[in-house]
Amino acid sequence: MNELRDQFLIEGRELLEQVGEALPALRAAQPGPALLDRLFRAVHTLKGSVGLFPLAPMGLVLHAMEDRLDTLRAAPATPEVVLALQDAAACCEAWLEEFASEDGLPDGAAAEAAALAARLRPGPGPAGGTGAAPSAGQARAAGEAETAWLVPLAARHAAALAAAWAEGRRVMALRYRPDAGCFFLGEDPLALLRRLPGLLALELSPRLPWPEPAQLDPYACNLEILALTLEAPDALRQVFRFVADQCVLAEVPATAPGNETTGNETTGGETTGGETPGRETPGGRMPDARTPARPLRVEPARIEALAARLGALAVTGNALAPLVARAAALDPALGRDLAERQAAIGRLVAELDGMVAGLRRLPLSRSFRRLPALARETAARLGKEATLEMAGEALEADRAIVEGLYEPLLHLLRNALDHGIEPPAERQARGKPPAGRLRLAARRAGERLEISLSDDGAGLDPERLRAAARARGVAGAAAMDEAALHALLFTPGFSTAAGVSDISGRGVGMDAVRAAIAALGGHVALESRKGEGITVRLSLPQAAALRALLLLRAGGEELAVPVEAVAETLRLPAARILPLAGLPGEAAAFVLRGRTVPLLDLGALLGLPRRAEGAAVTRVLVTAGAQPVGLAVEAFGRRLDAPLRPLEGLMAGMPGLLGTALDDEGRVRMVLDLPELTR
Amino acid sequence: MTLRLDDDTLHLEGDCGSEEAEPLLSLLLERPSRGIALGRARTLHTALVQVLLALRPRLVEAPTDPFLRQWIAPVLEDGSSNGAPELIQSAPPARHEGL
Repeated sequence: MNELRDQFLIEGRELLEQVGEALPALRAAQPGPALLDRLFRAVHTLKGSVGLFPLAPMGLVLHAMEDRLDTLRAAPATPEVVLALQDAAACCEAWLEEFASEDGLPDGAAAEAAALAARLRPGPGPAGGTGAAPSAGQARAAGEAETAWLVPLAARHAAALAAAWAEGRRVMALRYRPDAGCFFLGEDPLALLRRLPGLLALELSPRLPWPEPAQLDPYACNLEILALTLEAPDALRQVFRFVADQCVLAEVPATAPGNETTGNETTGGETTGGETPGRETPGGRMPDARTPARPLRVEPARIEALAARLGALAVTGNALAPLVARAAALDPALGRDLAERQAAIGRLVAELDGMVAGLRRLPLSRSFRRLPALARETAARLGKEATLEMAGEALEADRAIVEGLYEPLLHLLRNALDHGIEPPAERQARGKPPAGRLRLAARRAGERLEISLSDDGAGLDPERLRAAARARGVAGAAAMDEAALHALLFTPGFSTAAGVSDISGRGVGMDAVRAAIAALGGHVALESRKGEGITVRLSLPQAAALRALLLLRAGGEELAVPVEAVAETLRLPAARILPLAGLPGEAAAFVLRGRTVPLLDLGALLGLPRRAEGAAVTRVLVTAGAQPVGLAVEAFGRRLDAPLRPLEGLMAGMPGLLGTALDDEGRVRMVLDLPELTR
Repeated sequence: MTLRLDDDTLHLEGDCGSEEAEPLLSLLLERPSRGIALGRARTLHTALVQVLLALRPRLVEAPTDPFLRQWIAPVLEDGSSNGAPELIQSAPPARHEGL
């Protein structure tokens, strides 16, 4: 049963995202109490759910964050404190992803948690330092105190436990301390216990001694509930999911009760938010879960499935076109009627597509927010200083785009820090501030999304690029202008980096960026001013659900290319094709509006059979871009709107291919990456 | 009404919600000697159980609902004073073959 775990991951990511977005605002001179409340609530809620999983170090860090945030109500945050909180949040995020993929935390997590907790602890001492890190032993002791109730509980019910173990059953222990105000929230703690058919033992006791009967407040819950049960941990978590922050779960180790119990996988550690029953926890317990207006949380996979079906529907709708044409040939009136209906279906599909695209939209911050911390870390590792400013991260785009952006942006960021930003001393010598400035900005440009990453580093040296191009035997390097030299950076294996570092690549970076962005339907451009820095611009579609494709045949294969990669299609009479003598192969060119354009055979480029020679007319596709190339094909087909599926398995990462699409007859077509093929 | 006073016995019947906690407490404070009849109670809200735990009235009719009978009634019958824990009840797993 993974539902709860999945839900926890979704929620955890959301909460950490909220925290990551809200933390920088703490630097403001007067952060409002609402901001602190929001941060506190997010951290507290996450801490509550973390206790249900074997993530004790994360619980410790969140607890420390919560305590630190609490102190900020009285005294404003220093930059060190904000930084410590940001590092802690980044660490929790990394752990969450580690848990998502590995089902556990890395080995050093406990020590790291202790160090982070120490940094977060208020009071004298180096706020940013690692001075008084508590030992792992201390952390463990804290964890044991949390389950100190377990041993006596097990001892009191030794007979029931022995019977369960004799049958080979696992026994879980639960301590549930309902919030004092829980009755007002409509909670009925014992009703939850009633839902456990495997209950072995139940204890009820007052958390504070009962007052005189006349003083009793019947609506303040003063109970602690201890239970032993045969329910599986996941089933228990499901039952107690809305009060997770009030529960501690642990497996009763199957030994003689009373033995020392060391930590085990489900000794979830701290989850109750302190021992004091009356402690104030604003909005402490997943308040969203009960609010009627709670947004519906849908798993991404379901949206994907919906989008896929819709894609199939669009394809099926496309398949009507040839039928309509056939019908019209037989009976023009019938053809017209059918064409009208087909157009109506097309409109509905387009509307639905827009709605599904809306469901798939995420803010860019989903990818952006992890970058500032990574920039800091990376810069520090390189002995440099840098800040990353962001703008426009609230813009939304298709989930595939937002998530697909992260890797290329990371590449670009590392490149900028490694090769762009100079070491502090060098910067000062050039009259720049010692800390490099990076700016990541997103804006809408018509239907597209433009994202730029600028640095104020050294920029590119055109002459060094030219020398590198010459050394690699790039044709025409001597005559290349700056733009052409910059474009070289995006070709595979081209790098001018003097040394290879562990931070950024061996000349694969920019090429990988171009390919990743192309797979998202975007393109990359670069501007550089020597000594002043580089700006890399990414232009992306905002939605990726359906792509406009041009169908064609080349080398005997039915293929497709994205329409935006095509400038025009031509029928070229044989007389206009100029064979280029003296060059190897069958190179040719033609003149298009006064410009000589090289002509290649698409089939041959793909390693497929060439098209038959000697046709009177050659069908040619001219690629879009600054340096157009003509590609001879055998035939053009129709335009088609179809979902582009990324390549998987063996095909993944195959150069020259963007993905596959289903055509109107339901056949799989390879979708070509023309810029990659023609450079 | 899920709370009924009948000849000095307080009957809790059906699904008894938290709204009965205040009247239940008042009626018990009024005459601590009143007994409690749970024979027709189907569910008891935790707030009611808490009032019964804190005031310990005499149980004159045991519940018939299995959960209440097995887990809640024993503590209400248990006359022990305020030493923690208040309620201890365990069952051998053999009773839970259905799990």
